[in-house]
Amino acid sequence: MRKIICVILLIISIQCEKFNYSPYEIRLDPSQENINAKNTDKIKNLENSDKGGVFRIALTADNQNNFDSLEKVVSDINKQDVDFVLIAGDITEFGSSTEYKIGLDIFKTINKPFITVIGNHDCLGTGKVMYDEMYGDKDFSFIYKRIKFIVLNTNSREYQFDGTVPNLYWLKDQIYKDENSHFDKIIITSHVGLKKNNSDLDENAFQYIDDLFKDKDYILAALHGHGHKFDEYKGFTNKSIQSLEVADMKDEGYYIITISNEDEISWIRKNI
Amino acid sequence: MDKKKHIIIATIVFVLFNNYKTEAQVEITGAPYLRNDNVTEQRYNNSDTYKKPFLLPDYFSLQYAGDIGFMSIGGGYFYNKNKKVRVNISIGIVPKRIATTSSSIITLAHEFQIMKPIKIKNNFEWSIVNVGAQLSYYSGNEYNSLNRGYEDKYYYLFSTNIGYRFYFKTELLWLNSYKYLGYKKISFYFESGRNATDILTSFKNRTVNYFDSASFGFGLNLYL
Repeated sequence: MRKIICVILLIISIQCEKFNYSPYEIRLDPSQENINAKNTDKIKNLENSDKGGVFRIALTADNQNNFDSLEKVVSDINKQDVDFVLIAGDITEFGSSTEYKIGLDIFKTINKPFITVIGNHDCLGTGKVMYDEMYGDKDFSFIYKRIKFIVLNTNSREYQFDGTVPNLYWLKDQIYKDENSHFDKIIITSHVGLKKNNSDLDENAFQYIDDLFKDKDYILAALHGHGHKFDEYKGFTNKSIQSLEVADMKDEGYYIITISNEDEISWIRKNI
Repeated sequence: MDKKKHIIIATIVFVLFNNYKTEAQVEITGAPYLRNDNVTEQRYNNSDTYKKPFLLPDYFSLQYAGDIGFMSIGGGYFYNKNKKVRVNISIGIVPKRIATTSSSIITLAHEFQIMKPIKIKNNFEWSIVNVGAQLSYYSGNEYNSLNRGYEDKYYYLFSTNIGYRFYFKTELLWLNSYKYLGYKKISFYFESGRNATDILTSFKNRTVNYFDSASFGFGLNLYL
């Protein structure tokens, strides 16, 4: 009898963190919180240690619950000479706590800093709150080698097209540039692509953004996922802006994007 | 709104438990069908002749974790005379201060005893494995998001309001608890299971094992 009780108590103590209250519960330890802010700091430190102007980033998206493929992609990215990794949303399939945690464990094996964007699947259930707790703000920006990276929540559908997403006031403020600005160019990263007739993006929002970008020749590119396929196109009236859509993780592909000394953008598709 | 919901659920739970009286209490208040010790003994010696009030569950349960709330409380009924199949209904609460967002979870579980219990000494039995399937309804604004704003209601092919889970349970029963606590039997159980969504993820990924997505819980059953 004592042995049975001891075995039960042993199992309880070992699996303590597995006593889940709900599939959508949000209970994180400090190492699982504010990941984007921590990695943004790492990226800033990287800038101080590296004086060269050219840099490369990896762009991936839509791993959802394809964790085997994600591991393969991460393993391949780790062999590349990139400064950091952008993960353009849908890091979960069902927005569950388990998926968020398994995904994070794999992202942490990337040997470079990584930045995530919230995707539509990540908003499901308590996903929006989970994202806030685990990764931080849904809209944020950082500057690396005088390029401003704007991370924008574009999941209008998951906010019932209520006009709050994407946050246009914040975006307008972020792309404002004058002689005192600490950046030369801008790259925007989102999950749902900023393109016309995209039924998952607020229709009025696209028109507003397109008008906003018209005379901004310093906007270099708009990167996104969600479409589950590779695509390179000019989606804005301002044809100097390059749009890149990255394939999903089922196809085990990602982009390596190079920004040159002259702030020109080039890319290669990587298929594993 | 959330507060009101929790108050309503707490009231239901309070009423459910407050209306129930243990056998010891019933004897003291002199219920007509339990007049003396002999009748009570007879009731427990021969459960076939005892007529339990229709809606009174066969047992009450109190559980910690197991994906059905931080704490959940409920009751259940046996389907058949040999008590191998049961249905359990419970209400669980996840408080905001523990898990950042609050929610209430209503769960309907169906459970089968697949092995005959083993007798341990005179007063204990061990029901080694029960298997079950449960259907949970999660209430809270976050869970309703899929019901609003979607012209195509099958956009995601699932609802975040509803969860399915499969579990197995091991239960240790104390058989003569009546003498001390007024319940026919009391059991401690330990359970582990996985949600359907996690099972799907596991099928798709060789690297996701049972313990990556399993959840555990334990609790008490008070048999009447």
